Amino acid sequence: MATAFGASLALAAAPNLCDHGGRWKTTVARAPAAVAAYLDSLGHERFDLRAACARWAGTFSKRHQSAAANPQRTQIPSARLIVFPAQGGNTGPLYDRLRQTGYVRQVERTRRFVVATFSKYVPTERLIAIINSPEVGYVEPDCDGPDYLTTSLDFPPVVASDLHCWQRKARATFPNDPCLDELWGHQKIGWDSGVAARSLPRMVAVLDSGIDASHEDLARNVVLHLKAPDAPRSQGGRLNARCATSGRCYPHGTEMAGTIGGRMDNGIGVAGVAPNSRLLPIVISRVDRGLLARISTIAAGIDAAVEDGAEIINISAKWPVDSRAISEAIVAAVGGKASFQRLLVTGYATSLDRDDTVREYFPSQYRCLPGVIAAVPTDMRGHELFNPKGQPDATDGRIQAPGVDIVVTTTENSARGYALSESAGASSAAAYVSGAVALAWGSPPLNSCDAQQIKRLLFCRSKNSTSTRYPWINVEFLRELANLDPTADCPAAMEALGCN
Amino acid sequence: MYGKQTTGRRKFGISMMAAALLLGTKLVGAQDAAPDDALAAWLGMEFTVQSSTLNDHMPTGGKLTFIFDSEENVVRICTRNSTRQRGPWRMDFATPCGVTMLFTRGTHYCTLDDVKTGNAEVLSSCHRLRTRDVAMRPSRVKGTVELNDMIAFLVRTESGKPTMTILVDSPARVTADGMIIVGLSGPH
Repeated sequence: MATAFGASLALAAAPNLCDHGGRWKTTVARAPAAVAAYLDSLGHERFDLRAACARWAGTFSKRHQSAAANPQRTQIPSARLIVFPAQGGNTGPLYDRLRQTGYVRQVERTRRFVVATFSKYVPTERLIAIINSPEVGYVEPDCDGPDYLTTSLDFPPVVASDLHCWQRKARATFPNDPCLDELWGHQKIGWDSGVAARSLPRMVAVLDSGIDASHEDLARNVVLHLKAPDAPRSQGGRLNARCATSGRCYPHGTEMAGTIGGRMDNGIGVAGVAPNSRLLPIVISRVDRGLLARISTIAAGIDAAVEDGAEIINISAKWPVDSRAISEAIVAAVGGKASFQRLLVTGYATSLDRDDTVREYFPSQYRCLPGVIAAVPTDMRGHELFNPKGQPDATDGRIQAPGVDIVVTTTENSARGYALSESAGASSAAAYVSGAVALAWGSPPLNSCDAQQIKRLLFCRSKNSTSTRYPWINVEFLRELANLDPTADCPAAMEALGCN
Repeated sequence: MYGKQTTGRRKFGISMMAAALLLGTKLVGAQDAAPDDALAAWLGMEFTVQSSTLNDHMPTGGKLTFIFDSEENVVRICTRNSTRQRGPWRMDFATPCGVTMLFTRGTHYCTLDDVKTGNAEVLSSCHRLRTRDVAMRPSRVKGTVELNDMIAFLVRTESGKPTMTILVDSPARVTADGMIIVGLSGPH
C-alpha cells in the first residue's frame, strides 16, 4: 500500500500570488491539490507525468485515460519534478539528498528549486516518501507540451493570388517599408513613423522560439545573452544553443520580434511598433510546432531576461497551471520594487473549457500584479475609437490590441521571410502592446519614467469603442511630446499629457 | 473509397427509415425535438473543407453534410470523399454519419475574425456545435485512441451564406490548435 499523500482537490481559484499580495505563499500543501490527489490515487500504479500534468491543468480526459491504460508501460515518461526546499532550507542540501536516493537519474539545481528526473522504475511509494522527506517543501510536475502550448493558432496557407506587400518595391515616401500600408494595426493604435524614428532603444526580451538574427528586418536589433549563462545540459541551454538566433526553429518568435521591433525605412517588409528596440531572444518553446518547453525552462527564461537587463518581457505563450516556479520568477521580474523597473506583457489567452466556461490561462492571470499587462486580441472591423470619459482602470491589466491578419516577419523564407498571420490572436496582441510600451518608454522625456508610470500613461491615454469591452492601446498621444522639453522630468511630462 | 462511403450512407438512411417505421407510434407520441432556428440554414447542405491546418484530421476538399437527428436531438456529420480531396476521411469521420455534435444557442453568429482572434469571451456568445470526444486520426501512441475536442462555429459570410469555422482541440485541451474553414459546396 502506497503512503497516503494527504490532500484534497480544491476548486480552481485565483493564482496563489494574486491572493497573497504579490508573493507566493507557502502552505502545508506539498504539491498542487490536483497533483496531490493524483499521487494519493495511485496505489501501486506508476506515476505518469502526462496524467499528472493533465490533472493539474484540469484537462484530464478520455484520451489521457486511454493512454494511461496502454499496456506499453515503457512509454510512460519518467517522473520529472520541480522540488523546492523546505522553509528555511536551500537547494544545496536538497540537491545532495535527491542524488543520494539512488532513484534520481538527472538533477539540475537553480537558485530557488531543483529539477529531478527520476528513474522509470522508482516505486510510487518511494517517490512519495522522497516528496514527504523533511528537506522537501513543495513539488510540482515539470510539465511541457502538448498540454502547454503557445498562443497562436496555426493559420491556413494564404490563397490570395495578389502580389504580397513584401514582394513589392520600397515605398517612395518615408518610411519606405513596402508593407506599411497593410499594417492596419499600426494605424489603429495611432502609430506615427516620426515618433518611432525618434524613440530611444529599450530592451525587449522575447521569450519564445528564438529570433532569426539573419532576417534583414531584425538583424540589427537582435542582441545576444549578455550576462545570463544557460545552465549546462539544461533544456533551456540546449534550446537556446539551437534556436535563439539561428532561424532554424519554429517561426513564432521571429514573427513576434518583427511586430515589436522590425527595422523601419530599410526598403523591405515591415516596420515594428518600436523599430529601435533591442530584441533579446530567450527560447522557451521546443523546436517543433511551438510546443512549450518545460515549466522549469520558462522560469529560467524569465530569470535570464531579468539578469540580462530586459525592461520589457514579452511572453506570447500560455499554459494552464499556476506554477510556483514560474510565479516566483515573475515576482522577481515584475513584482514589488521590480514592477517599477520592467513590465511583463502577455496575451489575454482564453478558451472555452469542456463545460463551455471561459478559462483564462497563465501568465495572463498574473495581471493582478502591477507589473503585468494582458493584451486582448481584437480584429480590424469597425471599432470607432474615441477618448474615454473617465480614466480606464489600469489595475485590471487588460488592454486591447490588434490580433488578426498581421503581416509578420518569419523564418519561412519561401516568400522573402514574411507572411500574413491570419489568426495571430493573443500572441500578436502581446507583441503590439510590448512594442507600444517600448515606443512610449523610449520617447523623450518619457524615457525618464519608471515602468509603472509608463503603464499608467498607456491606460490613461487608451481609447474606447462602443463595440468592444476593454480599452484600446493607442500611442497617438506621443506626437504631443514634440511640444515638451525633452529634458523634462516624468511627472511634468505626465501632467502635460493629462495623466498625473 | 467514394463508392464505399455512399453505400454506407445509404445503409444508414435505410436503417433510420426502418427504425422510424418500427417505432412509428412511439416517435409520434414522443414529439421529437426540432432543430433550432439559428441552426436550420446549416442543415442538409453539403459543405466542402476549404482550408485546413489539420489535413490529417480533416482533409481539404472533403465534403460534409450536417443533419439533425430529432430522436436524439443531436446534429450528425455525414462525410463523403471527393476526387479533389487531399486525404481520406478517417476514424469517426469515415463511419457513416458517425460524428454527433450538440448545438449551443448563443446570442449571434460569429464572424470569421471572431474565431481567428480566439477570444473565448466573444466566442462563448456565438451559435456553435461541439463534440468533445471524436477520433479524427490514428493515434501516434500505439494501442490508444486519440480523442479530439471539436467546436464548429456557425459563420455567415458578408453575402449571408452559411459557412463554418471549426476549431480542433482548441480551446478545451490546449493541445495542437488548428483551424478548419468549411464553405458550401457548389453554387448556392
